[in-house]
Amino acid sequence: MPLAELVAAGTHSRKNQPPRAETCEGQQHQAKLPTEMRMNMFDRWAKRGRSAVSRPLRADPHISPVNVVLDDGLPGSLRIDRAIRLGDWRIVAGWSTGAIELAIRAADGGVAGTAFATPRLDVAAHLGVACGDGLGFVLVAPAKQGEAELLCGKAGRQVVHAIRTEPTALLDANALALMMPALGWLASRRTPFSQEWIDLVKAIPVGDAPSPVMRGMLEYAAANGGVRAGLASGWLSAPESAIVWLQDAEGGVHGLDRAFRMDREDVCTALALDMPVPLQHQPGFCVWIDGLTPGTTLDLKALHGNVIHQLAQALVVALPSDPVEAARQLFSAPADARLAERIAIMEMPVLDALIVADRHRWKTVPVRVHEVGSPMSEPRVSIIVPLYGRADFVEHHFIEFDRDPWLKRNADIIYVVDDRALIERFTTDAHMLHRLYGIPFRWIWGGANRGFAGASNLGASIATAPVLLFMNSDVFPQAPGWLPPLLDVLEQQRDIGIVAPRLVFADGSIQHAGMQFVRREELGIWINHHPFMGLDPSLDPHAHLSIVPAVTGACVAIRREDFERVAGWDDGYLIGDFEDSDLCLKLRREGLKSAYLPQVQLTHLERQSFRLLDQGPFRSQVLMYNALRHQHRWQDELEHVALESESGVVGPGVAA
Amino acid sequence: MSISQGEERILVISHAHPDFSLGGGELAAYNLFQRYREHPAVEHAWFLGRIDRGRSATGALGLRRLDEYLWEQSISDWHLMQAQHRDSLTTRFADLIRALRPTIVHAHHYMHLGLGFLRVIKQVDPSIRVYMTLHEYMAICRNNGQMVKTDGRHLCSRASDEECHRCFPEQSVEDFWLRKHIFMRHFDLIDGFVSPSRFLRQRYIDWGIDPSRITVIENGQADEPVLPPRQLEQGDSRNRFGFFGQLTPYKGLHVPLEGLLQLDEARRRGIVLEVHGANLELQTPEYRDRVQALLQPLIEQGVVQWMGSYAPHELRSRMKGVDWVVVPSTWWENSPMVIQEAFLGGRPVLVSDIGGMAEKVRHDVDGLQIAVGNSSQWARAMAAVAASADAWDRLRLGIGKPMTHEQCASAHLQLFERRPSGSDQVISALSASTLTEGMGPRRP
Repeated sequence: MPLAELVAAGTHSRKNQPPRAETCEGQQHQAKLPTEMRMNMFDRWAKRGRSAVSRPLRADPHISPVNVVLDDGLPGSLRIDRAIRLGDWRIVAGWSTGAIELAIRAADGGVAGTAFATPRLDVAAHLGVACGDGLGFVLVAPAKQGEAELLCGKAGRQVVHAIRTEPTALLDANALALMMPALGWLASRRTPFSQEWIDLVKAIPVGDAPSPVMRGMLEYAAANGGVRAGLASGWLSAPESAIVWLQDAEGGVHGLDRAFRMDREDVCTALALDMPVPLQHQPGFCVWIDGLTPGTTLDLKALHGNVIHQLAQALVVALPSDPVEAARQLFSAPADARLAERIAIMEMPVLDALIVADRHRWKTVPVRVHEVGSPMSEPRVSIIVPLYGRADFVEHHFIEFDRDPWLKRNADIIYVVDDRALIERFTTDAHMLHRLYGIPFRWIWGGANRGFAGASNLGASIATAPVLLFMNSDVFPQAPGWLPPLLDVLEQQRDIGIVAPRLVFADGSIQHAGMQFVRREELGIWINHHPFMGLDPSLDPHAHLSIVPAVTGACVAIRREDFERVAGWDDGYLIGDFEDSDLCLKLRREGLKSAYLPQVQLTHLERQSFRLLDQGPFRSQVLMYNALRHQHRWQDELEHVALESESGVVGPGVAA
Repeated sequence: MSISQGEERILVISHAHPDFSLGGGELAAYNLFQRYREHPAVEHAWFLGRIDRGRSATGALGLRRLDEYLWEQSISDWHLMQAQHRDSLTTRFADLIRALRPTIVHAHHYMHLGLGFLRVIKQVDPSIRVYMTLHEYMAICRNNGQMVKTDGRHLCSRASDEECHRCFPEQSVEDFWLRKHIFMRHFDLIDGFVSPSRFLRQRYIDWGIDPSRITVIENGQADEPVLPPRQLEQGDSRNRFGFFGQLTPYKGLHVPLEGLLQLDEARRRGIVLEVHGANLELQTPEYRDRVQALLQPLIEQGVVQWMGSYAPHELRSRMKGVDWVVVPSTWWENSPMVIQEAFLGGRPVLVSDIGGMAEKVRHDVDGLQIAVGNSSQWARAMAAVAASADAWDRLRLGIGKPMTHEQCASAHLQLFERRPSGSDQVISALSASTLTEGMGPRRP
C-alpha cells in the first residue's frame, strides 16, 4: 500500500479503533511527550552474525509480556504493543520493565535499529511504579524483504520474537501516539516537502508542549473558493534547523520558502523579552497558497527536534471573486518599501487567477446592443467609447460630433456602458440625445464592469469599420476634421500600427505627446512616462507625425485587422493601466510602429472617471501591480525600446 | 438703411413672463415684444415666457393670451444649465417653432430655460436667426452670475476653471471646463448677442465671445416726460434719497445705512432715505438681522422711512417724492433698470463706482460715483449733496433722455437686418458705440 494511502487509511481508522486493553493505554502517555531519546546503532551486532544469538522465545510478546534479561542483567518483561511497516521502515512500539537495548534483524541477517525511550504512565500504573519515564520504547529500522526479528539484550543478545507487522491500515491514533518520536525522527530524515515527508508530517499529531525556541502567528489568511487560491501572512521566529510550513484543513502542506519576508519591528520588540534564542531575521512573511478554501482553518507548523509544533492557526476568510475588491483586501496587508517584490511574490498569483476567472465569466454574461437611430452603412471608422461612473460626457461628445460633417458621414459610434449604475439613466438619455443631436449611435452593455480593456474589446466586437478609434469618455475633440488625418496615417503608412493625437488638459497644457518607458529604480518598476506633460504645446518638439515608443490609449486609431490579429486590448490588468503600452508592444512584435500625430489635438480631462475610484495607497498599489504585470510580459522589449529611444531610433520627425 | 416691410416673424423667448415675475430682464423682453409687433418691419411677433408653477416642470406649453405662450420649464442642472424637461425640447418646443415659423428668435436669457432650446431652433430650421440678450454674467459665473466670490465679500473680475473651482470646491477644474464647453458650443449657435451695457459686453469678450458678435443696446424706457421736481417746503433742501430694489446683500442697502449711523447726529438728521424695498424676509437670517439692526435706530430718528415694496408701474410715482436715487450695489450690475427710470424721471443717481453703474452714471454730470461698499464715503456724499445749494439742479441738467422702447426695438431690428444667419459677416460699421450713440447718457 502506498504510504499516502496508508496514512489516509490510518487517519480514517482512528475513530473506529477501540483502544486495546493490553497496551494499558491511558490518557497519561499522551499527556507527556517523549523527552528523552536513545539512539543506538547496532552495527557491531551485525558483525557478530546470527550464530551469536540465542533461539527466539516461544512466548509471543505481541500477546503478553515475555521474560527478558534487562541491560543491568536482571530479569524483566517486554511487550510489543504495535508493529507497523511505514514505507521503507519498520516501526515497533512497546514497553519493558527496565532499560534494554533493542534492534531488528532482517531476513538477510542485517541488524539495525534506532530506539527511542518514551514515557508510559499507563505501564507504570499497570506495574504499580511511580514513574513511567523510559518504560516505553519505539524502535525503527529499515524494512527489508522477509521476516524480521526483534533482538534485545546487551551482551548475551536474545532473539525475542519474530515481528508481526500489522496490516498497515491500522496506523491509528494509538499507534501514532506510541510511535511519535520515531515518526518525527523519520520525518526529519526525509527530504522536506517530498511526498513521503508530506505524507508523514500530515499523519503525525502535533506535540502539546510549546517550543521554547519557536514562535509564530498567522495574522491573515484569505482564499477565494472559486479559484481555490489564497494567501496568508504573519510572522515566525524559528531556528534554522526547524522546518516550517502551512498546513490547510485538507492536509495540504505549503512551504514558506517562496514567502516574501519582511522585518517586523513590532514582533522583534515583543519577542525580545521572551525568547531565549536569537530571533529569526525578517520574521514577517506573506505567502500565496494554491488550494486553499475559505471557511477552513490554516495551521502554521514546524518540525523541530523530532516533534511537530503547531505555532498558530487562523480561520481562512473569504476573498471576493471580484479582482478589484480582492485586491483592495490583499493590498491592505502590512508591507514595507519592497512593495513591488511583495506583489510579485504574493498578490500576483492570486489576483492573476481571480482575473482570469473573472474574464472567463464575462463570456457567459449576456450582452445587449442597443441601436439608436439608423446605423451607418460602410463607415470608415468605428469610434469606441467606454463609459464608467458618469455618462454626462456623452452630450459633450455630441456637441462636437454634431459640428463635424465628415464624422457624421463616416463614423460608426459605439458607447460601451461599463457601469451597471448608468444603465437605467442612459437608456432614456440615449434617445433624448438622439432627438436633440440627430446622431445615430449604438450602445452596448456587457453585463459586468469590464474595465477599459474589456469594455473596449466588447465595443470592438460590434464595430463594423476597418479602422477603430478608441477614445476615453473624457476626451473631447476641439474642432471638426480631427479624424481624417489620423486615418490617413494608417492608410498611407502600413508600417505604422497605431496612431494617437496630441491631448491637452483642460488648461491647455500637454497631457499626451507620446509615451516613453522609464525605469523607476526606487520602485523597481518600469512606468509609462508622458513626456512634456503639463507644458505649453508650443514646447512639444514633435511638429509632425513621429514614431514614439508607445502611445496613450485615451485616444488611438488602429486598423481593425491588426487589432484582431494581436487579440485586442489585454484585459488581464487590474482596473486599467498599461493596456495601451501593452497593445503598442504587441503591435511592435508584429513589426508595427506606434506613431504620434501632433497636428491633431483633443482635450483630455484626464482621470475624471478615476476620481470616482479612491485615491491614495490603493491607487498606487494597483499601479504597481499593473506595472509588474506589464514588465513580466515585456521585460526585454521594454529595455530594447528604452535603449532605442535614448539612441534616437525613435523620436521627433522620424516618420514625417 | 431700409427695413423691408413686414418680413420678419419674431419670437421673443424669455426666462419669465412679467405677468408673474417682475425682473428687469423679462420686462425688457416683454416691452420689446410689444414694440416688435407694432413695428412695420415685423409681420408677426410672439412671446414665449417660461413659467414656474411650483412643481416639477412638465414641459407643457400653453397660451397666456393671443400670441403669448407659457412654457413650464426649469433647470435640472445649474452647472451645465440643462433644462429639467428636456423631452419637451424636441417635441412641444420644436412643434412651436415649426408652427410659428419665425425668421428671428430673440432670446432673453438662458436661465430657467436651459441651453438646449437654442440647438432645437437651428435643428428645426437653420435659417432662423437667433439673437440673445445677455442680462448678467450667468454663463461666466457659477455664483448666480454675480461675479462675486462665494465668500460674498470679494468682487470677481475673471472666470477661469481654476478660480471657479476655488469658489466651488465640490466642482473640479474639469467640471468647469465642461461647463464652459457646453455654454460656448451653444453660444456658437447664436447669430448675435445684445448687451445692455458695455461693461457686460466686455466681460463676455474677456470670457471668450468674439467682440464682433456682441452689440450694446441699452434697455428701452417708456416715452414719458421728466417728473416735476419735488416741491420743497420752507427751509427744506434736496435731502430726500430713494432706494428702490430687492433687499439682497448684493443690492447693498446696508452700505448707506451703516454710513448714516456713522455720521454725527446733526448731519444725519439733515438726510431722509426712503427705502422702497422688497424680499428682506427671503434673505438669510444673518443678513436680515444685520439690516434690521441698522434700520431700527435710523427709522426711530426719522432718517430712514420704510416705504415697502412696489410694483414696476408704481416706481415712477414713488420717485416723485425723492430728489436722489441711490444704487449702492456691491456687485457689478449690468444696466440697472432703476438708473434708467431715475434718469427718465429727472432724478440724479448716486451709484457704486463699479461695473454697469459706473458706466451708466457720469460722475458729477448726472450723478455721483461712490466707492463700492465704502459706507462712510456714501454718508459723506449724501450729506454733502443734501446740504449743497446747487448740486441737485446742476446734476439734473446733466441727465440725458434714455432710449425709448421704440428706439430700442428699432435698434434691434437694425441689428437683425445686418447680420444674416449662417454668415461670417461682421457688422463692424454697426459698432456698439454707433448703435447706442445718442440713445442715452455716456461717460465722456
